Amino acid sequence: MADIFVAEKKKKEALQKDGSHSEFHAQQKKSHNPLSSFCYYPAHANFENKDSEETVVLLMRKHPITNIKWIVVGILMLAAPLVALSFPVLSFLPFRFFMVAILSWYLITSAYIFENFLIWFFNVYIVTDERIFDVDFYNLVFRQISDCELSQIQDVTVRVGSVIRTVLNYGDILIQTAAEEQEFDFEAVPQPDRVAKILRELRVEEEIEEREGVVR
Amino acid sequence: MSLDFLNLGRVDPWIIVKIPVVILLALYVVFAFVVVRQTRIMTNTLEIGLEVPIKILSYLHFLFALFLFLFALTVL
Repeated sequence: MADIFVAEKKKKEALQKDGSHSEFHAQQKKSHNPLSSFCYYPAHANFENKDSEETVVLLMRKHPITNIKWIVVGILMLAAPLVALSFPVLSFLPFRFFMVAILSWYLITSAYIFENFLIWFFNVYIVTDERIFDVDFYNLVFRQISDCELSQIQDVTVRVGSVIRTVLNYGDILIQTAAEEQEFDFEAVPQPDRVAKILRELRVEEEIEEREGVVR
Repeated sequence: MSLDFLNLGRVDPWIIVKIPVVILLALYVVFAFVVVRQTRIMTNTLEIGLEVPIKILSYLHFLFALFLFLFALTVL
């Protein structure tokens, strides 16, 4: 028998011997930080159409470093009125208009910071023991949620393509599926190799369950 | 900058500036309300922690927009 099939068989036997991947890893320490970008078996993770017996294995969002641009812009926006006070750029305005202009600026700044935070916070990628979810929160009025069964995953590709991504260990994971949404793109997630490994283990487990006829 | 050159008689020339400012702020209040609704939907769809602080922030943003609208309406 070819080595590849022997290795696959051994892996399945090991999984069967030790119990399922889910059972083993669910006993590991759970992540409790809601702002973490990589939560393995998160303690508090629930979503609308989650089955009662479904367990969330991974909850991911973009690496925190991807927020640096809007954080810097936000700080500059917060400081901008101080510059306007130092230089008489708005001196032609009556005081009441000046007040409204400054308050409006801070209103827009708060909306900018809040929107960017929400986009980062709610753009999550969820892997359960049954499905994968891609929740896209494009802006404050448009969102999209796609899901796919683990058994429909055909190919998982890890892409780490720059110095900063290599140093901070984050990258993209492209998942080709046989579902309606043919490609899932987990962008800039931390520890992409570990994610790919977990996905592979879950798929093997799902395959075994299907062969044994386990129905959830 | 003086708007006296517009020669509007007894009408305050700054009223021309006030009307679009108030309209824009009124539209912003509607936007802030949409943000509250969307935030509520998202926190109900995904329960991943921080639901209460995020809802409070969205309400504060809405109240700030409403306050600024009323402030502009009365002060300008």
